[in-house]
Amino acid sequence: MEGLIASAARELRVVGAVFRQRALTSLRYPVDFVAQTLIGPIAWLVPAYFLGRAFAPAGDAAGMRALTGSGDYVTYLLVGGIVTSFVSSVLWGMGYALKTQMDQGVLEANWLAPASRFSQLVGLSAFNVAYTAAQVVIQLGLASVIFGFHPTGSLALALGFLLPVVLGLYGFGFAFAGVTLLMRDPNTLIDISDFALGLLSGGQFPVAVLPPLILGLALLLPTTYAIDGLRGILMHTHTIAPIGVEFLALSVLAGALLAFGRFAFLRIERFCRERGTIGLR
Amino acid sequence: MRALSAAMLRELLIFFRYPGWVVSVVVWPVLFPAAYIFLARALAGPDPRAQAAQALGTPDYVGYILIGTLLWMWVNTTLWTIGSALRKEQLGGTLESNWLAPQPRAALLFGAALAHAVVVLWMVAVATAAFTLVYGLKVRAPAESALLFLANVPWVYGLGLLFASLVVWAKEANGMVHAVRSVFLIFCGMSFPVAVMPGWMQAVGRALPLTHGIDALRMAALAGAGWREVAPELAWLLVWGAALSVCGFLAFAFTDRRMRELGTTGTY
Repeated sequence: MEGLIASAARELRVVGAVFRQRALTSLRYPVDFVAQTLIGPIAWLVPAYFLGRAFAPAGDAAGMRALTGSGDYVTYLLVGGIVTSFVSSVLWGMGYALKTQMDQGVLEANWLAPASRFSQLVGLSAFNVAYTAAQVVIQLGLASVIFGFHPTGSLALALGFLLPVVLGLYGFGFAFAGVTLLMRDPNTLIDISDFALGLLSGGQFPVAVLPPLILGLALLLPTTYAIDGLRGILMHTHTIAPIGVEFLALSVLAGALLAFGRFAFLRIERFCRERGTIGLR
Repeated sequence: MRALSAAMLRELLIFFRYPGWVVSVVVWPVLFPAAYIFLARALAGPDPRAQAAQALGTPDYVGYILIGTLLWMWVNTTLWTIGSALRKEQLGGTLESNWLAPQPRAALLFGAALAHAVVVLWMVAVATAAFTLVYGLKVRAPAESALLFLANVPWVYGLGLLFASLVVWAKEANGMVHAVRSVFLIFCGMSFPVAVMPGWMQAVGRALPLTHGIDALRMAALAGAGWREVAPELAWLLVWGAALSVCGFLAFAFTDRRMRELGTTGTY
C-alpha cells in the first residue's frame, strides 16, 4: 500500500513539474500569450459577428430563429466557441507541444528521464485544461462586453454538461499526441482537423444548413452533440436529441475515448522507441 | 542568382518533404470559406440570395465570401512562411551559420519569398478550380480580376519582408502572426461589408490595403466593374505596395546590420 502511495505521489510530482514547465514557458512569451488568449479568439469571432450584423441589423436573425428557435446569433456563436476552443486547445496543445519539443531537440531527453511518459502527457493536458478554461472565461467576459452574451439557461447545468465533453476530448488528445510522434510534422493535420471539426460540428451555425451528405458526417461526431446540447441548455434552442440522451451518450463516449487515447498513445510511443525515431523531426 | 535559386529550391524541397503542407494548399481554399458561407445561409433563411442582396449589396453571397477569404488566406500564408522564414532558421540553429556563408544574406529571405510565390500560384489555381467546381463561382471580368489580384503582390510581399525582419527582433513569430493577421481579419471586411462596422473601425479598415484589394476584386469579379470604377482602389494598392516594399528592404538591411553588431543572430 505504501509503495502504491509513493508511486502515485511520484507520478503526481511529474504531472506538477510538467504543468509548471508549460506555465513558465507560456508566460515567458507574453506576445504569444496575449495574442492567443485575447486577440485571436475575439478576432475569429469578428467576421462572423459582422456578417450576422449585415443580415440582422437589429440583432435578431429571422433565418436562424426559424432553424433553431433563437435569433440571438451572438450568443449562438459564443456558445459554439466554448466547445471549439477546447477542441483547438486539445489539438494544438497536445500535438503541437510535442512537436515543439521535437524541434527544440529536447523530446528525446525528456522521454529518457526516469519519469512516466504518460504522466508527462497528463501534465501537459492538465495545463491545457486550465489554460483553455481561463481562456474561455476571459473570452466570454470580453465578448459579453464587446458583443453581448445573453444565456437564458442554467450555467451550472452547462458546466456539468461540459465536463464529459472535455474529458473525452483529452482522451482524443492522447491519441493525437501519438500521431504527432508518428508524423513528426502534424501542423497541417492539426490545423485542418481543428477547422473541419468546428465546421462539421456547427460551431458557428446550425448543422441543418449542411448539405445532406456532410450532415450525415456531422451527426457521427460527438462534438456536434456537445455543441448542440450546450446551446439547448444555455439558449433553449431545438436540439437534435433530448438533452439527457445527449449527456448520456457523451459520458459513455468520453470514457471510451479516454481508454482508447491512453492505449493508442502507449502503443505508438513504444513503436517509435523501438524504431528509434523519437528524436527525429 | 545561384544563392537565390539555391534558397528557393531548398524551401521548395522542405515544402514537398511534408505532404501535409501540399495537401493543405488543396484543402484550405475549399474548407475555409465554407464556415462563412454556411453561416450566411443560416442567417439569411429560406431565400439567401434576396437577403444577401440587401445585406451585402450583391445576391452572390458565395462569391462575396470566396473573394474575401482567398485574399485573407494569401496574407495569412505569407506571414506564416516568408514572415517566419528567418525565425525558423533561428530556432533550428542554422541562421547564424547561413548568415556567415559567403553569399548575399538577402538571398535567404528572397529565396523563401520566391518559393512562396510558386506555392501561392498553385494555391490560386486550385482555389479557382474549387471555387468554380464546388461553389459555382462565375467571374464577370476575368482579365481585370486577374490583374487586380496581381496588383496586391507588392504590398503582400513587402509586408512579408518587413514582418520577417521584425520577427527576428521580437523572437515571437507565432504571437506576432496571430496579432497581425487578426488586424486584417477584424478590419478588412473579409466576409462582411466594412460599412456595418462602427465608424472608427471603418476608418481603420479603409486605411489597410487588404480592404481595397478585396473591394476591387469583388467589384470586378462580381459586378463586372471596369478600370475606371476600380481606379481609386487600385491607386491605394499601388501606393501601399511601394511603401511596404521600401520598408521591407530597409527593415531587412537594418536588422542584418544590428544583429551582427549585437551578436544576437544565433540567440533565441
